Amino acid sequence: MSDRNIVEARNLVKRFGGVLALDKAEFLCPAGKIVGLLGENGSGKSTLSRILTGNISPTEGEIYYKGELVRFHSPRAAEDAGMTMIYQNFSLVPDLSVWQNIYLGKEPLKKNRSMDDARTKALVRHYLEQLCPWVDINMEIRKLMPADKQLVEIAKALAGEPEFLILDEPTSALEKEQVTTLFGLMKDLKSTGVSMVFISHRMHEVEEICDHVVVLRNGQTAGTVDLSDKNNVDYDEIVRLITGKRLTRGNGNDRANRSIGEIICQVEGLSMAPKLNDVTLNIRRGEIVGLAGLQGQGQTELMLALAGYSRTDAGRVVINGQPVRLKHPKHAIGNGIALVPGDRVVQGLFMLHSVLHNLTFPLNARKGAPWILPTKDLQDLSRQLVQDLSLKTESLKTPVALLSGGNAQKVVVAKWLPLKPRLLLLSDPAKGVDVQAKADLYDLITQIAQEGTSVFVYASDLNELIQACDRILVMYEGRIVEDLLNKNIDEEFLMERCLHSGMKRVDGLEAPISN
Amino acid sequence: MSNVSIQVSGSFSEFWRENGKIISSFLIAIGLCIVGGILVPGFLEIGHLLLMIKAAAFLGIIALAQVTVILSGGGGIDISVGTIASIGVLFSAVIMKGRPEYILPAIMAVGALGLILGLINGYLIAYFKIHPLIMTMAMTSVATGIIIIYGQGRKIIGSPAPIIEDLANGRIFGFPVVILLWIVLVIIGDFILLRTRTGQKLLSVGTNDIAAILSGVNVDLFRLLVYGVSGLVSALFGVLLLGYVHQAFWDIGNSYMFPSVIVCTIGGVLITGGSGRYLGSMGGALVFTFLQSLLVSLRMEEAFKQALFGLILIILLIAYSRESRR
Amino acid sequence: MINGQALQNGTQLQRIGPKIMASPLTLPLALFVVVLAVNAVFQDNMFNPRVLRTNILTFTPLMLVAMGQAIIMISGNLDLSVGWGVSAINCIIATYMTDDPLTIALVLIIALAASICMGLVNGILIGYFKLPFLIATFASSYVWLGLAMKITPIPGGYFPRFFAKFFKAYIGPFNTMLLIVVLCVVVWGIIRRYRLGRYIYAVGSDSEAAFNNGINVKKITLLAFALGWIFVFLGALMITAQTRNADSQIGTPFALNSIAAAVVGGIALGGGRGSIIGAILGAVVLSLIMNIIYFAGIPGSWQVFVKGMIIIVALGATVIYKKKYD
Repeated sequence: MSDRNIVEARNLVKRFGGVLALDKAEFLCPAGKIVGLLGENGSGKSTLSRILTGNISPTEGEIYYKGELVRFHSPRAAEDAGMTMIYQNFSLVPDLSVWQNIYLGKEPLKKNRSMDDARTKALVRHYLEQLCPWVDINMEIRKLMPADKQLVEIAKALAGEPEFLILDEPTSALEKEQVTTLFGLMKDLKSTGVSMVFISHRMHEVEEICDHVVVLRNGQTAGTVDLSDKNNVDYDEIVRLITGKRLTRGNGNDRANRSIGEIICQVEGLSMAPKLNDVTLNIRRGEIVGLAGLQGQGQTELMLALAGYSRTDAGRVVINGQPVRLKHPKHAIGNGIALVPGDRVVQGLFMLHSVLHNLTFPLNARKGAPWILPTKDLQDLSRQLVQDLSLKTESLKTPVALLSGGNAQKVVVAKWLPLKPRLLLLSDPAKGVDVQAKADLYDLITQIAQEGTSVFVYASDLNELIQACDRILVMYEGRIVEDLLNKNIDEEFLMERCLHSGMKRVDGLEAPISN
Repeated sequence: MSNVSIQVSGSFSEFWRENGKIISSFLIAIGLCIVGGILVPGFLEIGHLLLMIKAAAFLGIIALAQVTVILSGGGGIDISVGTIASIGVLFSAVIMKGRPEYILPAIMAVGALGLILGLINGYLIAYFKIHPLIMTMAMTSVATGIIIIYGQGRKIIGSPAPIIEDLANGRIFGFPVVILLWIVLVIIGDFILLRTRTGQKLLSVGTNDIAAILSGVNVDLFRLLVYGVSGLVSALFGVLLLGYVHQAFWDIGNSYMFPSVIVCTIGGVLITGGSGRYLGSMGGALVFTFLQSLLVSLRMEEAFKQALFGLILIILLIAYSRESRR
Repeated sequence: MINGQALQNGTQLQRIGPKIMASPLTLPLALFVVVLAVNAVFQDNMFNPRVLRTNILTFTPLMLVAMGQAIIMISGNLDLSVGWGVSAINCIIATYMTDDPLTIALVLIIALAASICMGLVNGILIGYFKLPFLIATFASSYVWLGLAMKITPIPGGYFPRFFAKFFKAYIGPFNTMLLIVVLCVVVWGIIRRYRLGRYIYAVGSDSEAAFNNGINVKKITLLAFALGWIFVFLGALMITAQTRNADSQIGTPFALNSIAAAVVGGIALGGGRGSIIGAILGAVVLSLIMNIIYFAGIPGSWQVFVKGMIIIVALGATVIYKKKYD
């Protein structure tokens, strides 16, 4: 092995019970470079990172760090050696404060071995200055916004002054501006010799920041792609390595094929303190409407309110000309509104239960469903759904917890189909989902719209919206500020609208919208 | 990719994952019988066996309430089942006083009382978000208080109507009726659980209440009713218990409370909810009763019995959790 | 929350107000004041030093056991076996105690060691074998009961008078027992300055996150139990000094009472939050409630009922408060 590589992993095998997560995988990270790690959910990415940083031990294989064979038995041991991982919020303890968390496990001590809180706080302030100076270090983690939590998580990793840093989906909760700051920080670190591994599903980010990418598939290293020439990136090759085949896209972009009908849903003046502030919009039959905007502008709250989950203070919702009261999801469902929630594990699936159970539950729970379940019919229905959606599962009785992320997300959407909803709400459905599954998902959405169901989708990734939607609404501080027909819009324009939509262009000058 | 013949059920490992604990519990029960047969003469005599299974039936019936509550999730547990059963014993004894014409009023009054107490539990748990462990503990205090107020310390005079006694103690073709009752209830319970809308709701609510709400289930109302049912069943169980023991000591139902929880764990009901079957509680009740019976037959000192009981329980539970993590 | 804007515009009170309301000690403190006032109404000689002392004496054992329970709860668990654990320690102390100073010291050391062992056993079952704490501590409680009954089949025993007097010695309303409580609070305060203290909170708050920070979750769980049971030992010692008797049933009410005291005192059932002073306040509130019930002339048979109702109200208040100010 050469000492140009700070980390080398060879012949890594990891078995969890009967499942082979890594199958002789190889990974190299040259010193002072940023390497992207790509792969479908279930390809072994997080297993690999967890092995590298001492969270779990490999069943077989060797790891070389700075040229020497190492075996870390705990995350602490790896950290002490200079290898750190930035988790997606798995290392922040919710009830402790920010400053207590940053040095958790490695608190500076006084001579009598008690914790030196004053020094800790001073160090914490120093590290937070660059990333998020507005955060109150005394606040408990559970009270922070997701974006701030992510930034604290990053600051925490940096406080350890690592030489090798793995960032696992660090940008999922961040705004574009914060991502830019983060990338700037990463480039600074790179110039001081820190090596990094960047794991993400957001292709454009990977292309921007990484020197090359390593792709895992089915627990093996499928290949590497060089990214040093940013004008000449072989995107298709990357996708081919990830999925093992060419990217298949349905005719999702063929918007001309779909007929868009009359207005089926009108929202007027919907308000809910503190996040929704006089929301007004409408949706037509068969239309795919996107919801864009900076994070935290009220998008998730709007979705939940339309689904009947949250109580609104004012305003009304009109479905097919009839005003409806949405005090509970069962009212929404009764009116043909269904929600595919943002956090599929916490909100969308019964992880312990089978594919069959999950697919048929909304059908069984609806008003008027038969008390005794028609088992045979339900099985046939599920079989049909699995087939139509190319759902990969061993059997109908497989617990959904065993499905890959993309397939699980399909279940979350598919379970509403038998109810033939009028309006399908989706709250960031492709978050954390790999490239192929994302494409499948949006194909599905297009198909649903083709069959007459309207779709209202919020996505934090603007590209998704641009590719799929007929119209895009921009949300800002709890209200809809833009209603854009999706003709010739590109990401830059849309982002600018999101950022500056608090201002209205008046004769070329910018003036703030009066509140 | 077309998957024309996708199976409903998968391999053996899936079957085991679903039913392993239940099968194990029955196997352990049989194992205990064999051990008993070796150590204690007459343990396996048909008369003694039936007696033990009959005792298990009583535990098993009250455990049905506990299974339902635990399945409903959200930390679901009902510490008050024992005390409400005691209320059932007391009040039905006093109302009936051995007279058959008073069965119906007794059952209705006792049932109503149990239902009300259960609904109070459910209301404060579901709508006020008080943790079920704490709330039902407090309800135990309240229920005990009711018993003390009513009893005023004196021994209660009252007895069951003959029909209740027959139900509890009678036999059909030499087979205790209550065992048949138990089997019927378990079959009905599992049918409702696996084949009806209500059962699916219960399993879903217990697994993930947010997902259940978003699917249109009124989770708060559902849990309210679950606790109500638990109270109702516990109180009615008390009526049955009266038939079994003839006399009403005020704390007679209390000894069923913790065992009802143990029975659930042995029977594979997940303590966090959403997973398990009533059939499991049957295996669990058999294991528990056989164990107790074995220890009693061995004529140990009371002290040893208690300690050994706890010890064996611990060993069983460790073995169980080992299995589930394989 | 405090922010720059408020600093400029708001008054001192506006800044501190929300902070006080959100503090975990506010509600227990408020409850304490209310209950104290009510008690004073019904028991007019309450502030008489002698009466105050007697009250404090009676409350101290629960205060200490509640503190122990609180530490275990903060680490994310619950221990139902403290009740019969207290019984076991009580029996060990009072059965083997004599007037000989050497024996006294030996017995105390053995009792303390036994106590810590009991805690460690629970800690191992829960931390290493991953048994659910409800079931594990239920099972172990039977083992402690067995131990207690083995040592003391019928109530009896001995506790030196001068030793008991030592604990009851006083200056004004403050006696040795209270001093011990204060000492415990100080010791815990010191522990919180060390990593062990913070790690106990971390593990209780999110054990997976704690593990990812290199914290040895199993070890911390064990230590939390061991530490908690040191307090349980002290509680058992206090009650033994008062009753000067060994009785295997003496600990029974402590299990549920210590949990209720901790919850009323603001200790979260989920772990990771709460102050030990809250547990003390909770214990006092609970004890004062029982006092009130007695002195308010509530008929004996109604006392348990009323106590249960009041606890439910107090719990409801805790929950509503948390919802609003958390």
